[in-house]
Amino acid sequence: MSRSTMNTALKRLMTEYKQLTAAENDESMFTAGPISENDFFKWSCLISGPTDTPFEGGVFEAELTFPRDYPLSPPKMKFNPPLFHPNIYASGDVCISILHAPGDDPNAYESSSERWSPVQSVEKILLSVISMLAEPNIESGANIDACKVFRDNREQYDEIIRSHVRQQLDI
Amino acid sequence: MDDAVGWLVALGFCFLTFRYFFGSDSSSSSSSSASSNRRTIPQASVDQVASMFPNISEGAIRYALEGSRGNVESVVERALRQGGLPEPPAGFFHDPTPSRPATIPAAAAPPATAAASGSSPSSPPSSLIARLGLQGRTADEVEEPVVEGKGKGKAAPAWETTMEARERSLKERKERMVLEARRKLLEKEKAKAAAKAAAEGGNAVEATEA
Repeated sequence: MSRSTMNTALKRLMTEYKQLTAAENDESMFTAGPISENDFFKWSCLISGPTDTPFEGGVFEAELTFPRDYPLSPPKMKFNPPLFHPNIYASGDVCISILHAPGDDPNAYESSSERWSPVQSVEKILLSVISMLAEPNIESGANIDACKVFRDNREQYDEIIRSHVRQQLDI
Repeated sequence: MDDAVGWLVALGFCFLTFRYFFGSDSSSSSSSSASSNRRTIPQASVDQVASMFPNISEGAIRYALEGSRGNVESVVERALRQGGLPEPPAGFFHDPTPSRPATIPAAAAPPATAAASGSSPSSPPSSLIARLGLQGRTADEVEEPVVEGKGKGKAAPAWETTMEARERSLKERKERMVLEARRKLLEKEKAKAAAKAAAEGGNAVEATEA
């Protein structure tokens, strides 16, 4: 990896960080930024649960790890601790189309328009993740148990998530 | 005479076969019923429950599954209802059967509190409050965030020029977000409890009137 691609990545990340900070207000659904500016390739973000879902009222922490050739390649996103959700692996890794480059498609039916490309951004990823929380896609499930519970026993699914929300906020 | 001997041998053989099958069956089931029960709990169902409730120890899950004859559904229901599962009695897994559950109850013996460190997989994940170091600020800051939010939350936070200031500003915003969420959720739960109490009170009034 040449020095210039890394400089491009750093510049781009700095710009996005600045824009995200400037766009923040009381109604923001998320906060994101580098954990420490010594390593600009590791961000942590807090995401509020979307309203009218069992995630409502909760705050969830996730880690974004950017590749050195960002924005050519997409970052990886991981919830810590893992969220119980059909599209989040038990490890916490998020599996949605915007985090996949057009070339590698594990599920082979996502249209390339919703895939990663350099015109996407951290903000778009976070917005996609919030809508994913509200509307899981059980056709491309990453957590089979969560898919089953979501499909067969919605009440139980909601309750599992609500108890996670309370646990995370120490209630 | 030859006939009689033949019959006797045949009878003896039948008796021995019968004894071999049924006798051994009953003796083994009475001596090792506990361990044979245990073997019927597949690791997959334990893992299935554990993936939904990372804060419940594997020993407790296995114990509950044995109580419900391996019915995952009912164990999940129970864990949701009670907010947890009881730990197995001491020595419950101390027989030669599985090596894995025998060690885990011992490791997860301390009660599962939210403040426990989140490093080992069997303990509950540490809460956001614990990770951001906000334990001391949850009780006394019930009212303050409202004022703070009105003061500077509306406008976008200023873009600090130094690295340290930016890091601090981000940390503050995160803390505010978590505390605010906690406050709102607590308020909502209180309102819900009040509404429920009111509804019950109303029902009681109706009942007495009727």
